[in-house]
Amino acid sequence: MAKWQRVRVNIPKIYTPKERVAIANDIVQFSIARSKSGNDVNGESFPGYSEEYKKSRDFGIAGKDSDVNLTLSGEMLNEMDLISHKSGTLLIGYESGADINGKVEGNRIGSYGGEADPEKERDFLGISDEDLKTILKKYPKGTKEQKESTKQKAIDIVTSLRISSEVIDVS
Amino acid sequence: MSVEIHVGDIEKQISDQIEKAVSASVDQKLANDTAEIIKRRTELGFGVNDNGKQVKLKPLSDSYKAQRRGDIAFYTDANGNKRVFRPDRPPKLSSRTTPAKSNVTKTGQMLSSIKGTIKNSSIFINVSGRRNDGSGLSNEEVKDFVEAQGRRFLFLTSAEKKQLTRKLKDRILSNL
Repeated sequence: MAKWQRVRVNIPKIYTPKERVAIANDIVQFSIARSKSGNDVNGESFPGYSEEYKKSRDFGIAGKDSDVNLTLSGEMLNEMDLISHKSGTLLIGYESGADINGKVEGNRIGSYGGEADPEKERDFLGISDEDLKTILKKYPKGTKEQKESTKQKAIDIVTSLRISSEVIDVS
Repeated sequence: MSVEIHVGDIEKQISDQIEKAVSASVDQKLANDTAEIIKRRTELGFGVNDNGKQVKLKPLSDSYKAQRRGDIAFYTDANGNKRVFRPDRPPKLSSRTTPAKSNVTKTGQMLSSIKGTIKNSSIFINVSGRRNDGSGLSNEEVKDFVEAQGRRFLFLTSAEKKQLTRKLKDRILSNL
């Protein structure tokens, strides 16, 4: 049974619940984009795909090339989400007990159903301190105006997310 | 069953500005993206279970694999009995499948016909058109048969819903 795959991201305690959701959404989308561009949590390139995998029919069907983007159907990256949050902390990852945890763990520790292999690790879950700082710069809270702007930005993001989720979820 | 995404179903306590942004964001591009996501996932051999999770499509039967390899074929005799024979050559399969691969693909016509359309600010994803394989069937009939066999594919997985939710969210924000 794979371990529950999640990471704790610490942020300043000044942020409101809505702002935390907005920041978490930015972190998830950043993590997905970074993984699709072939880089791990620390910004280093993922190990390349095996020749066997590159020759597989699914590799061609998915329209993949040699650039590692952790995307076949896209399930692994797209399932990543904010699990919970409280003052100063975001928990980002996957639903506890979900089957997808096995695939995520396989990528993160390089086991892929076998023994862990550091040379095959593709740790895509999480964010570096530097990248987190860049995201948090978009949510300044220094002055009264900044606080109001950050509050409104978070409301727009959370409202758009909620409406989008309702629209898509009726399918 | 088809995938339907209705803007009209959202709560009405949103501002006119957001409502306009939502309507502008649910467009043909989102419909095309949704159709492509379903098509790609199905070609890879994955369907959707009742809980909205991505699952491997049910394997093909040995008999059907033999037909796809060209080892056997069937015809119906004058008395209505099904007869087996060995065909001269195997059936032509799409390059995006193999005799043993369960990915709702034989010629590829049905999955190619998956389209997203917009009507009354809603997205509808379905298959359409008739087949040109001499069967006289429509792609809709083939889709219904495939799903009745336990291969649910014309749905969205939870991961796909999250993907589309984020995509739609970004578009709403840019249209605000």
